[in-house]
Amino acid sequence: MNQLADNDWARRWNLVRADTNLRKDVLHKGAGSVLELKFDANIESFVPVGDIPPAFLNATLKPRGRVAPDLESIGLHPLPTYSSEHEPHYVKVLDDFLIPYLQADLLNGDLQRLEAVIRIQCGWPKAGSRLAQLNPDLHFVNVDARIYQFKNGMRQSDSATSGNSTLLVIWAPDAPRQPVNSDGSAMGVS
Amino acid sequence: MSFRRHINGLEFCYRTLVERLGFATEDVHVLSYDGSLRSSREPDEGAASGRWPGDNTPYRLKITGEGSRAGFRAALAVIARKLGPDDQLFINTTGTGGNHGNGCGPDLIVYPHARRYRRAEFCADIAALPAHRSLVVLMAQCFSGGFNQPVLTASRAQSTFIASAAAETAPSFALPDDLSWDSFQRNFIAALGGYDVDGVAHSRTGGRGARPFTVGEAFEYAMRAPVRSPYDSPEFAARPAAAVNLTLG
Repeated sequence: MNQLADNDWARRWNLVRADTNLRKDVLHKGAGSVLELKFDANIESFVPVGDIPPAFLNATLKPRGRVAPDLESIGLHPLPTYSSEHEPHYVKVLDDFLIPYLQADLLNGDLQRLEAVIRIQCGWPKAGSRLAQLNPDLHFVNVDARIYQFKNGMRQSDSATSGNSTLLVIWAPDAPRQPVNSDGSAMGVS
Repeated sequence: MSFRRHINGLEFCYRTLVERLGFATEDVHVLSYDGSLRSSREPDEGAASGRWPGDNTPYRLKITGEGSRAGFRAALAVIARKLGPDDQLFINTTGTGGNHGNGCGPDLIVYPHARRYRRAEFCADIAALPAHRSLVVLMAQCFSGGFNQPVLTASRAQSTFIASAAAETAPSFALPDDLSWDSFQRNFIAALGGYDVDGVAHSRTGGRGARPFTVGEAFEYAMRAPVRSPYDSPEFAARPAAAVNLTLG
């Protein structure tokens, strides 16, 4: 399996979808955002630059693992170019293939990834509710995030003859040391 | 999926049901992770042999099945054979929740490998139970409020009450500065049983002869408890409205 090089990560990633708990901070206004990464040799990590999605402000993304993940090994073909009509397919792929694959690697695995702590908003009581009055301030929580890339993971268009792009999967799994009980994912492409 | 704090919460629920509210141990089904006392980030049994942080005594919980849809359906099948029109069923879920935000969720995240136990599947499974007197559900995972109305619709009980730690789009939290417990679940169970995890009697309901909290009162207490996460967004639903007056046991 080919290992990923620094320039496989240091590029502009178009983030196209996110679960409910990540959407506000990973996708600007829920519509999509760009995560541009640059390698910082001093800290041997990647840092976001440019118009940084709020979740990644001040984040440092550390490379980990030695085995490049790939879709074929879990029986998947490249995903169609993301659009809202393909959301059910993306969700099925996440639930039935990608998250179980990543979860199996979580304890002692060696998949290549970036690890970061990102910041997401929490606590959105319904506007006007008693809870919203009791707790009007926005609350942010730091969560562990693991970021994987799958070469040839997304088709560039729905045409079977077009080339493929690299799929980015951002996974913020529930973690014992976090005060919050959520599992969330986001996806992008470059 | 469960961490140590979720197993701690299940232990508290188990002790409250059996030791405070008089449920028979054979009537309590406990499903967690791989069917052991381990949590999902504990590679061996070491942590499970530790002591419960509530009162520093060994765990008494007996895990009867894995924390999966198959495990839940198997437990419901056993319950269904005994459940009659005068019976009460109490379900407490805890652990991790997910919500893709596509209108099909939220989901419970279950064993193995963070599989999804979908809301529609959960509701279909409880809808297959025979008719019974009352159903009380306490959900502590993130986004659990999204289960409230569908559970009311699915329930075959004459009276149904469901309390959830968080709204459909919001996460649920551990206690501030103490990751040993989930905030809402601990306070709700403490109110129901009249005692907190350390065995200290609850100020209003604890002690012999005290009137037990109704589920509605337990909800109110858990929302306002002096030690709680301020960031939970609890919600409840009841059918009929008088189901808030249900008690356990």
